[in-house]
Amino acid sequence: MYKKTIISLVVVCFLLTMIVLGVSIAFGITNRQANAENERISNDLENVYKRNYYELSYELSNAGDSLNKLLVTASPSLQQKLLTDFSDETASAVICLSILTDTSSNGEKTVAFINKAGDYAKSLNYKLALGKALSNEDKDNLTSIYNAIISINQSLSEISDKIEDNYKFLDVLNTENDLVVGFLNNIEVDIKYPSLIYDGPFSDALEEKKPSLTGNELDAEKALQEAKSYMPMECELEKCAENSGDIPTYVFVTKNLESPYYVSVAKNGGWLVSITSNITSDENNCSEEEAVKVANDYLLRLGITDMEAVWVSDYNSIYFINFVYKQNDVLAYPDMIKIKVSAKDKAIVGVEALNYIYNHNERQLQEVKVSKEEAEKKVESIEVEAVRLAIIPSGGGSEQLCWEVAGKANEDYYFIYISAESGEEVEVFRVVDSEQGKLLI
Amino acid sequence: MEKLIYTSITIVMVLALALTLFVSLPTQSAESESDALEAVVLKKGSSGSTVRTVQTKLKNWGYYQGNIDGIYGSKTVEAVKYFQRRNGLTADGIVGAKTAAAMGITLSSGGGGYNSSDTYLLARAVYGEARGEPYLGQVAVAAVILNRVKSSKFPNSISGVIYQAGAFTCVSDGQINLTPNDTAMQAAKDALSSWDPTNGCLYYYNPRTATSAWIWSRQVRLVIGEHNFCV
Repeated sequence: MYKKTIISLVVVCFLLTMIVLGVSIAFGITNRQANAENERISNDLENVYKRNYYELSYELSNAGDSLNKLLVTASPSLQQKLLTDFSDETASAVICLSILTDTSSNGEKTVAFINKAGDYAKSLNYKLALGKALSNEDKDNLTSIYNAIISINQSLSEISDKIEDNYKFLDVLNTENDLVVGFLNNIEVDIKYPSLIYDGPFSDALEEKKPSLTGNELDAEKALQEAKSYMPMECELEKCAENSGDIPTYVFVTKNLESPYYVSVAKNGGWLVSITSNITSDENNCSEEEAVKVANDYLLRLGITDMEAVWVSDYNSIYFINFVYKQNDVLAYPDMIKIKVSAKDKAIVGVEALNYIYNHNERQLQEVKVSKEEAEKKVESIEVEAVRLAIIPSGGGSEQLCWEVAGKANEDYYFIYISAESGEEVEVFRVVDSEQGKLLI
Repeated sequence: MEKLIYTSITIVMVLALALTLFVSLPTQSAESESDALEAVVLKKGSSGSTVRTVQTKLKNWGYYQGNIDGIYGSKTVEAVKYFQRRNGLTADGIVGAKTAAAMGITLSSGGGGYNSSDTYLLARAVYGEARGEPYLGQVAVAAVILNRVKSSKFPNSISGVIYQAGAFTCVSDGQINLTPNDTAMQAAKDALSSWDPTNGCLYYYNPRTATSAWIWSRQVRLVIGEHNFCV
């Protein structure tokens, strides 16, 4: 009896040991596999960083070469090729840099400079394409850009020895030991980047924007009354925020509403800046025409006249309608107000008028030197449906008067802009997914 | 005696089971996070061209008798349910990924100038970064991302800005892979349609959690909910 117990105990212990052993081995193997997998992933990731670092050096060194050659060539066609190369190289360099580091706190100026330099090259390229030549000022700018790029490359080569020598990006990313961060911080102190003013989206001329519509400063109580008058319905409002930007505003929010409306009013002049809500609509009781009328009536109630609806699209039974100011039959696209109308109850659920406040004014209209017929003739590749005069922004903060020629080619819808002064085709827009939106003529 | 053996064996089995579970658990939880795509669905109240396509297809196949008006009403819901039943799908009257695939259409959400995957990516960033915030704060976060795209100081695409190394916590901790809700989708859509409560801000931070001295040095222009928006 006693013996039996001992044998049973031994058997049980043996079984237990075997199972525990088996499980540990299995666990060990899984663990090893997991470790090997982790190592592979971290190597892959490290390689992505390394690749981007080498790519960055390569692109920036090529960018320097392209500019170097550009400064000695006099042939416009070769200049165009080199400018194209240069803007491609800067674009790639920016992508590499953004993968290597968070440039929002480090190297913001350097990224901005590289972006601007590439953008500036594009604008010069366009100038050459129009048959004009590079001016002395352009060449001076290119020289200072070249010098800055050379300095960047020198700093970059100073850290390259360390990076080639067993440096692990993963271990130091965005820390004080991060060589890329160190490099960026150093060059921001050492290099003075040239300021570039030209016709393009990154022009330094655009950094300071001033609103066109201003007025006397309102206190919060007065602004609240204005805000109430802008609301599409009777409601109680309270102040919830203030924005101290280029257009200082008070922000009010509706009280006791499940889906609140936010109304933003300019402190100077009390202009309506925006109404924001996430009102959804699960029914559609409203045609596009009705929605446009609702929006237009609302604008008239606010005393905003001469606005023309140019575009309507619907997103889950909410209509988004774009209105632009019309001055003597000329559409001024910079003066745009967007309005959201719920298709369920035909109510205003959103307004966006920031661009209108920045840009709206009575313009001194340029002389139209190119006739409507001439403009239409320039456009051969599309089936023309409408031609009208329009003022469009031309980058760098300026505007130009154009003939807007709208029409179809194959299944796509296009807007082509012909300068009313020179007859040049200055801009082409393709309507992305034209089924989702509709041009209003 | 036998009882002892059985008890021992039971204990051993339980132990073994526990160990096995312990070993296999981490792999399981890693999997459940990854399948978080496809939020674009068509349902009652939807409208637009894709609805028109759905209606046309259903009409051609004899499931739908109503007008092809691009409005997802109760007749469309019934037709979709009919189609789903006949094709072995869950008959919920909603066109999601599977139903769309069965119909041979792709679902997309619109957005001016940007393509639909950009809209969706932006909505995911909004959801990951600001889902507990007031609606205005969600639009503001989307607007900051778009302001960065337009700024020379940042990469020039939505994906470039969102996936910039260390730029957003929701990207680092994987919350960007969560499926955005309707509110985040709307906030993204509003920001893409140029609503910008921040008027040009490039940064935001939560003053309760932000530790970087640099971010505190920025000029705050607007406070919404938990976020300070600054330039």
